Amino acid sequence: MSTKNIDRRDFLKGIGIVGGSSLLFATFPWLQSCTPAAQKLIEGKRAKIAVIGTGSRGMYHLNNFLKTANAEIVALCDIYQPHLDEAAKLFPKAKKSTNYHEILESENVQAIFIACPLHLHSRITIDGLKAGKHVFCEKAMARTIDECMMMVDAWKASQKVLFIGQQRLFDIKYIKAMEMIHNGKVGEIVGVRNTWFRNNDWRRPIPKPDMERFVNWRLYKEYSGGLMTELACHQISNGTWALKGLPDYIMGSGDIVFWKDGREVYDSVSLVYHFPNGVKMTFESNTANKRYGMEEQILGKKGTIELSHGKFYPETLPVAPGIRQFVNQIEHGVFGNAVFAGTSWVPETASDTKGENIMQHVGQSNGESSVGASDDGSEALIAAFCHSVITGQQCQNLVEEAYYSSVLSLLGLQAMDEKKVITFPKEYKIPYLNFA
Amino acid sequence: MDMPVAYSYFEAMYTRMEMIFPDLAENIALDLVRNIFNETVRLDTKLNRFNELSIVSELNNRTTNIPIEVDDEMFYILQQCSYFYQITKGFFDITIQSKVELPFSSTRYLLDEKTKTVTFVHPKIQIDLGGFAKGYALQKIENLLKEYSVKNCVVNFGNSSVITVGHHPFGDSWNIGIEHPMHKNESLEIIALKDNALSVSGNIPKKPKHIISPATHKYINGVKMIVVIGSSPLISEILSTALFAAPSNVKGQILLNFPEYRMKQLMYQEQGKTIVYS
Repeated sequence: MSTKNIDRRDFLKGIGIVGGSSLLFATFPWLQSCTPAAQKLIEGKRAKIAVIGTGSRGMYHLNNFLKTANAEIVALCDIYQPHLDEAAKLFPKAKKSTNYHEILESENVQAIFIACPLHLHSRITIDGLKAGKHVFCEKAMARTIDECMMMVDAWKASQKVLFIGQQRLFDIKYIKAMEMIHNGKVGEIVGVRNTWFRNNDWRRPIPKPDMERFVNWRLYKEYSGGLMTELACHQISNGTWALKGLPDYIMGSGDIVFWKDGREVYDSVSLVYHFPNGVKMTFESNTANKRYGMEEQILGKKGTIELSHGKFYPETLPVAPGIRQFVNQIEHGVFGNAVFAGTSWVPETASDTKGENIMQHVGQSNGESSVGASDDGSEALIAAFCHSVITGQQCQNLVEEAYYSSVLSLLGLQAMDEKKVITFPKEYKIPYLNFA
Repeated sequence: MDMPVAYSYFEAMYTRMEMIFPDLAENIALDLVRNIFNETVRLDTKLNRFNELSIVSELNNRTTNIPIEVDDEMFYILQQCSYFYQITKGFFDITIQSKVELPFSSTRYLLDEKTKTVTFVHPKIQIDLGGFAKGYALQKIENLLKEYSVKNCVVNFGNSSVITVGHHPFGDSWNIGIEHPMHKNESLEIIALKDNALSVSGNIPKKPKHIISPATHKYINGVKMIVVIGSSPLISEILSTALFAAPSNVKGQILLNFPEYRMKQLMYQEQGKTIVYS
């Protein structure tokens, strides 16, 4: 399959939409900033951004910022000096700091971009908003549901822009797929399946023994929700988008099956998210077998869409040409041959069909990298953030989307920890979709 | 030119049946198609050895060798199969899937006309009507076409079994191409059919070995196809299967019994010349 980077000016063209579409924006209102008219508004302008957290994920985004015309990285912040020095090589003119409060005090900083460990998201985001800065915070939103709620409250009080790093919201193959789903291409949705399999210990080398929890924070409950906050929160939105609704209860099971190395987070999880109409969405992840990689399937009565591959598989396969060639001739009043005879034709089954590409160029990731992938919407996401910072306009529904993907991931974690079926708690509902 | 043409298809016997009826009133075409569908599904249910409720399954699941009574139609089918088994010198063999290797061309079952019973000569004999059922279904469909006074039509059962009535409305035959298995839409041979049936058996690169020789009990190798053209879809079907399995020197002997049937053997390769023997 071919992969091609799509220029931001051609972003909507990439999914076959020219000049904007009211139907598209009704479903994906956050894409309004991607229209040529919206882009024209910020031509020649640059958002002054400070990046807080310059580890692997921070560096991934800093490299994306290099390709973004509307961003100026004015400051860099990290408490780990080697990471800070590495980032400074990319942006030597940016101010360096090991204390994010210094960054928040800087008049020159319009927005902060947070790529720190999860347990720090809430604190820095709220401090940033209170300091009058626009904020981009990596996903998941926060370590606890209460913190997620506090971030939403702080955002509402601030009147500032808040983005959470849910890049699938800007990944054109997901947008195209959802447009097809909402136009009835797969028929009534009967199931949603998500899997994310890797075969590695998720560890990073530590310079000295006392840095274990600092470096490998993803493995410890104090800082991380493990597979749920690192992986599930990306895929949980698939059901919400496809079904235009939120699940009402969740059940699941999590264990440390293979990596018994002192980690606290599960290396094997399996969950079911139940929607009010009875449709189930599953999430399964294992880090000791990667055979099935990263898969996301929307199952409909008329067909299946594989989101991560950008493929559509109709339930009823197209009719082979056969004697229909004669039909065409007769309708046009001409005589001709029909070439079809041979050994017995056997219908193809779903397992041997190759499916249809939902668009011409589909960027794919196998989900193995824990740093970031190319062509996954990240570039468009940060470009949209720059647009919002410059214009001061929040992208509609973006916070609600991120909030629910994080909260649903954390509720899944709770279901596994407590070995209970968790009904979505009333106190954590914010107005959106069926919870409006 | 604006000529109405009815087209319909459905899946049966693990493949697709499709048909076209030029210049037939819509209500008549619909009624005819409904009857064709019902008849085909009836036969699929009755003759499919993988259907636990079929008569074939009932026969295959027997636990004793005592005579088993069958209905008139099944008795006729077993009679036909027995006749063609003999006349094709054992190369049309509905017991090829048996769980026992019996001497080539030996008697497999006995039929009693009076009691309408069949008695298998070995408990492990199994029957498989895969090489018979499509031709038999098309024979039944031919009767329906006559009942409805159809003047021109084509019925294609899975690309390997075709019947034609009359001719193309804008020509004097139905010209059907044998498709090159490696090159879609490219024909190995064009065959003009008029009130004739066509049947194809063979190996293709995707399925190079799937037909077992009754003589050797081994899969038949090689990329070749046998095409048989004749008036009866059932005989064409039986002959294409038997002639594919039979060695070259026996093919001619079998065909001597069917002077009105033509055989074409098509050899092909990815590139280069196609050799056609008629």
